[in-house]
Amino acid sequence: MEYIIHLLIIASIYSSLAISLNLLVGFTGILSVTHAAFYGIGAYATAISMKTLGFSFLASVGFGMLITLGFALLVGFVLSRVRGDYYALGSFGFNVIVYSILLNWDALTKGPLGIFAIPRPTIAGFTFTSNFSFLLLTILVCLLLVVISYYITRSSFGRVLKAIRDDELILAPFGYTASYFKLAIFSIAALMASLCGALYATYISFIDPSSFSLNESIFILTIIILGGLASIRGSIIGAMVLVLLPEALRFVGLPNEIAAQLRVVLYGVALVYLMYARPSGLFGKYSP
Amino acid sequence: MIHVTHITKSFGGIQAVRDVSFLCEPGTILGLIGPNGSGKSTLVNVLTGMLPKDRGLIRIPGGFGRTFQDVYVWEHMTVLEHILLMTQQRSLMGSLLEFRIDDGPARLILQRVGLSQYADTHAKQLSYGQRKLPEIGRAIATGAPNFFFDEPFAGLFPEMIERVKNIIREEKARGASIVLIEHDMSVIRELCDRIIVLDAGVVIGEGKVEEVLANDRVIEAYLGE
Repeated sequence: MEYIIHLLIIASIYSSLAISLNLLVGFTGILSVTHAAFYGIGAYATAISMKTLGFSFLASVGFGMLITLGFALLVGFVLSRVRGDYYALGSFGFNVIVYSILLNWDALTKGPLGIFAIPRPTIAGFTFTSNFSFLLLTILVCLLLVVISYYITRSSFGRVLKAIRDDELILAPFGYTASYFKLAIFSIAALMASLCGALYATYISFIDPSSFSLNESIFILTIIILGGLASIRGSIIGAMVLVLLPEALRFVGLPNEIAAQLRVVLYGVALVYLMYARPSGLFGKYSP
Repeated sequence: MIHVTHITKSFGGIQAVRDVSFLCEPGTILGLIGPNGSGKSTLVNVLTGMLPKDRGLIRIPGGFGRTFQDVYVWEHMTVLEHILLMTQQRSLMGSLLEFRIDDGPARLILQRVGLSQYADTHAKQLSYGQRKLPEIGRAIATGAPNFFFDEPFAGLFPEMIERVKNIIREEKARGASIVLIEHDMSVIRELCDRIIVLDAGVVIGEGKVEEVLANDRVIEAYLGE
């Protein structure tokens, strides 16, 4: 049972990450491959402020989001002035920079050794010690992000994001400054990722840079492409499939000596098949 | 009112628009004509801020609505959404705080352009000619007192052409200043109060329609005769 709860917690965190990235990639058409950087900044800021500065969980989350916002505004300001491939490359570069800082700034991040013994969250005197209570917390956060995303995508602001996705140049003559909207949604998505980082750090209680590399950004991107662009439901289902599928493959009775390698192969085959059968993802509402 | 003076625009060493000035008064339609490549669309793109100008002054008090020579629609958005984008809050915070919007005015505009039955259709599902209509709806939905219509009749069915002509006349009657780029001289004669003729980015004729069209230099440049 504890194993299933653990998987559901991880799947919930990835669902939240996917929901936030889908705001950028699916709803706005911005190909960002730097989401793990903000996820990592949130995780490290929370871990350091709780362990070193003695902040409470909520204060640490706020602290992490504040730092994330600073970085998001800075990076987003630069990126919001470019489009397409250049945006993707710029975001790629930022993820590499953040990863390098996490890996090499030993005095702050403990480098490759990572930070351990991060305490579980305490809110209003209740400590989320059991995994089940933590699962409820991650589901609650996921629901909160669903509601925020639902509001954003159906508001007048969301309509502008869709127009940016299709062709932002046409917006300019009608009084819209697309770069402001791109910066705003980039920052909102980054703040959501930061919150996910705080949850991850306090759940696993140990973080090191490998959890926030470019591979992680690509994994989150894979979730939303598989689940479906511009679909909140697709983000959640995509996360469930990609987190739970490798685990499910443990139970298909593969020979022990090749089980690990074969699971990866089957996982890859399943992904290729899904993309072949449903190129717009499981619940995709937008296909470029 | 659309008042432009000494507008100049170059691309590298080529002057696409050279020292163009004109005034389009409220309640009038100014035809902008000229051979292909004469700089008409470039001029409109400069006047509407899609291209930076090199020199000159542009005064368009109250803003403007416009259509494009090539069809520019948001393909994955519905026809109604095209209009709502013009009637909704356009500032960052204003749009973020606006969740529900009265779509009544937008639907009235769809009625005017004849797209009521396509309100929930994605623009990419419309035919080429039909795609011109959300553009025209989008322009008039701005509620602006000034318009630039860049070949709005191209690709339209005859009944649609009459509908669009009526819309332009109605906006004129409302007191709008309208600049109309059009190749069909019968439409120019029918709708425009005045015209200016561009050739190689330079104004070679300006005034009342029939007088300008009878000008030898205009005939030579525009009609090649």
